[in-house]
Amino acid sequence: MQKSLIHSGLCLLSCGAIALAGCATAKLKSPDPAIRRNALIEAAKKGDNTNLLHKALEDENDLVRRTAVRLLVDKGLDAEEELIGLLDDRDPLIRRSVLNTLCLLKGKELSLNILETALHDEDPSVRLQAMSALVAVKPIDARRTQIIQAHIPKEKNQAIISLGSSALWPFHRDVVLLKDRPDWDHEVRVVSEFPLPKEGWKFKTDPKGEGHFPKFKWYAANLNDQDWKPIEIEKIWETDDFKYDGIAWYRRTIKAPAKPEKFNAAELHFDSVDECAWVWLNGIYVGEHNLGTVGWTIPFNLDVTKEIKWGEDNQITIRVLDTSGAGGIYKPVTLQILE
Amino acid sequence: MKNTLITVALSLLTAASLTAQEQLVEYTGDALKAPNVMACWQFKPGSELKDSAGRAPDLKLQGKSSFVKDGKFGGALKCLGSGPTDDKLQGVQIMNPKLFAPKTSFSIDMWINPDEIAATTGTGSYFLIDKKLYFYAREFEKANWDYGAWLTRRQNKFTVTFSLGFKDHSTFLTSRPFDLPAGEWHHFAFAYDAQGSARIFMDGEALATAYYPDHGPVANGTYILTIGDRVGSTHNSFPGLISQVRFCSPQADEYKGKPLFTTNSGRTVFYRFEKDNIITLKLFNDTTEDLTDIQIEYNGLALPEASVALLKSHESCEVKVPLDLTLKPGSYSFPAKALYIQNGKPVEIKGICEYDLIPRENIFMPVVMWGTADSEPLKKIGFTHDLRGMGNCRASWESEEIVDLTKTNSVQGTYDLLNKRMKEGIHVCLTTRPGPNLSRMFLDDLSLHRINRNGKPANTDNLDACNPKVLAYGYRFGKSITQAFGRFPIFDAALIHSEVRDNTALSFHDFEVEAAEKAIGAKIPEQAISKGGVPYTVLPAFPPSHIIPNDDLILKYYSWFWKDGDGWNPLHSAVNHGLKDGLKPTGRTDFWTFFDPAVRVPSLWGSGGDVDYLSQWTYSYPDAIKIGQATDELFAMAEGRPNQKVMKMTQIIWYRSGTAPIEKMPADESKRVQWERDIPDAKFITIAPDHLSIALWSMIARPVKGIMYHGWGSLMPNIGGTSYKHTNDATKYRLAKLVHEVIQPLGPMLLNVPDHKTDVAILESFASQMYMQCGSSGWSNSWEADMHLILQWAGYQPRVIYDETIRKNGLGDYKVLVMPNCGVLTQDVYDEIKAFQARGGIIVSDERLCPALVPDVIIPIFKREPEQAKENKEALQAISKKLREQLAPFYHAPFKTSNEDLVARLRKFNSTDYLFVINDKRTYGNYVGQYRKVMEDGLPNEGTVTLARKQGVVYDLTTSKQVNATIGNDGISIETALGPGDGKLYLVTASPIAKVTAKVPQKASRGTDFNVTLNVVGGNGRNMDAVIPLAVTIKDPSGNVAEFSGYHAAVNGKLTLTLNVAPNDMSGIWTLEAKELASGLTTLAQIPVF
Repeated sequence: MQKSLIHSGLCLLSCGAIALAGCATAKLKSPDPAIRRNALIEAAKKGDNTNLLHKALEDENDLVRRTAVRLLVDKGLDAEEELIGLLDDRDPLIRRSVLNTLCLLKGKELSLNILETALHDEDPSVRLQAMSALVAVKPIDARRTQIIQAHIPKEKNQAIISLGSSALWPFHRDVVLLKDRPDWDHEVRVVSEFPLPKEGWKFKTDPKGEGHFPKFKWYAANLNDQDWKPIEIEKIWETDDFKYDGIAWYRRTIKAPAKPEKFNAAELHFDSVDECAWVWLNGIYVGEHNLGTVGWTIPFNLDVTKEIKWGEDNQITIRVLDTSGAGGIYKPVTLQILE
Repeated sequence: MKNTLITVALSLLTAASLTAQEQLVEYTGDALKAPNVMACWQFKPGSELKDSAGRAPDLKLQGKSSFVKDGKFGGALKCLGSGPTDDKLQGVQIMNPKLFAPKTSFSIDMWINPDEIAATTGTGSYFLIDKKLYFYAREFEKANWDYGAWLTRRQNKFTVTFSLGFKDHSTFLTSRPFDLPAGEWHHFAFAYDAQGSARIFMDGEALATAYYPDHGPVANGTYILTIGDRVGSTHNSFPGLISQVRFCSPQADEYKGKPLFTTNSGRTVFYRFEKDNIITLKLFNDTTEDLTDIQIEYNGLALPEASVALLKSHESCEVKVPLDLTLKPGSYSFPAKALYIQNGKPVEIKGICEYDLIPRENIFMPVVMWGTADSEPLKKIGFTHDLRGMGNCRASWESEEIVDLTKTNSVQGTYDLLNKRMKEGIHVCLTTRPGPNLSRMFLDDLSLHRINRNGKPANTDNLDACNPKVLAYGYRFGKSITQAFGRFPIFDAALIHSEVRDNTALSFHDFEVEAAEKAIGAKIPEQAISKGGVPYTVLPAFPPSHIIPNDDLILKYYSWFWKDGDGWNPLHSAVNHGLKDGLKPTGRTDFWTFFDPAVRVPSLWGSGGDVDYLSQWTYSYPDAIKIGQATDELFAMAEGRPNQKVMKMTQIIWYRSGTAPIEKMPADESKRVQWERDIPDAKFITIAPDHLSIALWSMIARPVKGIMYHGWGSLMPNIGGTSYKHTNDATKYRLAKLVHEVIQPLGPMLLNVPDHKTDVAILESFASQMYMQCGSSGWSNSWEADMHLILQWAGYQPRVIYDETIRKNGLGDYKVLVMPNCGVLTQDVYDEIKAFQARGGIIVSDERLCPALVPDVIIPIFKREPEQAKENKEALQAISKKLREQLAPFYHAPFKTSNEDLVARLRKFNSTDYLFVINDKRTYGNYVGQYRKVMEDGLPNEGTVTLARKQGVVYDLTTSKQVNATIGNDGISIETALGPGDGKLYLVTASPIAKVTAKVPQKASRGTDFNVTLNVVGGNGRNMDAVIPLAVTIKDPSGNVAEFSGYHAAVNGKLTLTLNVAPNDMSGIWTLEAKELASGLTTLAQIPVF
């Protein structure tokens, strides 16, 4: 008896659901997009709405379609097939949202073909999402590297270029300053300082982020930088009329002091660079300051004990990234001799 | 405690005060031969360098100085003034440092006559005499020798300072401010009795006096006597003439101390019926002898408490006289007398005690000049407040106690100012800033400055406000000031700090690390290096969804830092509480405090601490309605503190770089516009008048409780000593017109009308800001600000909300959630947003939206081009239009306008709507428009404004007239036409205003309270369900305008005023006329007064 009541109840509920679905289907035919959208939302609260969503994907109103996609996304992997089918939807917002969702749902399992295709999307927000997904999986394998490398030269959007380039950045140096050395428990003292000259620097912008590519090697000690523009440090590059946001390079040769009789380390001290910096001394990568946009006020040091040529000319190259506003090596740079 | 002052001099009555005045003559004959006259330089033609007393060696004339014949008595020393480009010694000197190094008492007197430069320009100090070199406190010996005296010009007034060196410290006696017009001769004298009493006289009257206990003669040093300039270092010569300089030691008799009877110290101006009705009479024994049998009388009365048997040297006694404040406004006086025995002889000093009674004030909307200015032009424009500093609390830092500022030598100047301001009706807002003051005072004290993780200074400009000693000082600072000056009701506001958080930095003193770890329950995350947060891109394990746990440690740390950890908010609170506690004895509750710019921080509650009002300044360019964005941010911030409210400031100044870059100015002068020819190097210029107007309407379209302006030098012509330049004369007239025609009549109403509860929110996400380094930070020039502009131009009314707003209130009130730069969310905020979407809420975002959300509309981030103000505006308005079209089927705003340049905003009181319409139609003008950075000229605009309500009657509150409106399917439509930059305020009521009535007593007695009630009645016979602005005029039988005349607000259609015709006022028929400012109906009532 009890079982039969439950069964009857389920039937009633089921009939109710069917009735509701029927009602929702009717509402989907309303000329008012708001009613159609609400019908989707209400149906989603009640239960299975897949058919309704499929219908709604054909709606003429973008917001109704997007609502349908959102409700599909809420179904997660159960809707994977439908979502993949929407990757070439006419609406870039839907393409982006679907790609986003698939990336989140599948992680590194998401087909690279999907990402590669998305990198060719006409809408930059879709391409940005695709690039984000490509670089998110660490370490970046050969296939991903290949896709990214192939795409960067074709890309016009700075954010996408920057993301891809950063991911493929080939230089690495573990910067361990004297004060941070685990074997060093003495007080670190700056015994002498040699400010780098303000004047005499050479400067070149690098909007494509290619300067470090093997075919350019703008960090090479023997690079001919005669055609680079003159610039001073200790001021923003906009002061010298470079109205520019992006990557730019500074180069200069400096004469190092004679080797001190007693010292424990030599470090380059940057009072601040707006906003990220990558540094080479005599063609050797000595480290970076890459904290994103927050880094522009933060001083940093790089160890050059092994790279510096005492009493001789030393070539220093600094690659700077400024994403917005003022940029450049706007504060002094000093060679510090530490004891 | 050596520097403790006992008292200061005032406008004084002395038993023999004429003596000093009698000495204002040319010294000749015996006067020059007196044994104490060490020298008298009269600069007489032919013997300019000679001492007329014949005792001192010849002077040496220095630099560009010269002698002229038109001195006070024939000859004069002329100096030209100094400056950074002309820093050379002038004046005359006695080259032997051993001369004029007094071993005992001494006095110096001289005549001076400032030239135009001294009297009218610059803010600086001019040395009259110097043998000290150091005009500021330093602890080493060579900074504390002999004496010096100099004038300081500030705000068109002068003060004079007399400094004495005592080897290990110096004293600085500064007078109250006085006028010193160009071309007039005035006599100054400086005297020190070598027993602790220093005195300054002007034209024979004591101007200031101080007693420093336990002080003997000054310490003699190695600097030479210099007249007319500073002895060395940088030079500050007195631009003008100096005549007859006399040096006496021992001091001249006329400058010796005398008993001083003061009849006008403290308060002398009172509101009618104030509780504080005390005026103080004071006798100060500025002699070295005791006085006995003291009796102070007033009005011929000698009260027992006014009798003192003995008054020792440098002590004072006073009598508090209660005043009758029920009398009618006016000036009153009574005779007063001090009697005492000195050296066995009875002495009597007579005086008149004068005071003023002024009418009680109506409720008004504050219009604050964020700066200091003279009363007359302030009043002319309609300002109600300006900013002033009061008192130096450094002693409190040292003593760790509340200081009694009434015992400092500047107190009388402050009293004078406050009394004057009360009479003039200009309120005084204190500018406190104890934090930056401490930072400057103790630059070398690392414990007061922020340090990075390596223990190195992180930012020496910014005080480490987290230091517990600083917090305690902040409280003492506030309390010291209001204890001293809180009796003056005209002093009713305080700016706690300003712009202190821009330079804040993470700091790692032990006390900070401990506090942070306690707050977050863990070690400070090592990634925390910058105050701007941590880019998520540098965190390898950052969730791909960008949804972070609610207890995310990095976010917890930054929340702590921005709320409490950098110390500023707690310090604001401490100063605020100190100020309020100092007022407790007065019972005052009207005093308000504010902090600005309060949203120049990430979007997290707490900025400003416990201050009463948050404020923010905004530069109006390129699009002036962006003032509304910053204002909306203030409301979002204020939501974090119960009862905290909002005021808003528009900058009068425009940065040249943002409007008319100096480097782009034509080299050919003939191609420049007039202001560029006049002031080519101006760094800050004047806001264009149409921008000012749009900004004002944008502020008051929101429920702000006051408005502010900064940049007096750009508003008014000929203000020297500032980089703010007056380049547009029309602006001040526009401001005056707006204040007089909009703020003053409508202000009381606006203070009572709440905001419309909107259903469009724009999220400024703290989590995103900390992980993605975005946010407007109050500058109103970020993408978030442009998104807000898009919404305004779309005809939406966005409310700024924070992550915390969502946590507190959810999103149940909203239909549209706009999410610019919202790339990272905490789980709880994300959950609320998902629930909002599930309810049908619409999300409008940009491409940076966190990946876990699917938006309904994406607006790609728009990047402005630097010199395309028109194109930028058009592009943003095109986005507005498209957005409106996209959302039209799903969201219905409460109003709409027929073109984007008619920007509307709604406030609401019960069933009544207050619909603001602002004309934002603009073009490039020929003021700065040639640079294409700003469209500064407004254009006329007309169109239709439709309010979504089924019925109503519409009134134009700017013209006090009913206007025609049509009712259609969309609501009530009003055809509107606005002039360039203009605004309008439509009142839409459920029923028409039928009449105004006045209920007055059939008769009233003088000296007795009685009520008059004004009712604004609707067509349904009931009081209007609205706040209606009223203009009220109350006149006595002779037609004189009386107390409470002016603008008021009838809340719920009703206003009750409690009047009291003074016992000494006129009997007869008084009249009350009231006009409601919606439709212009009036009423007139008569009140027979007996």
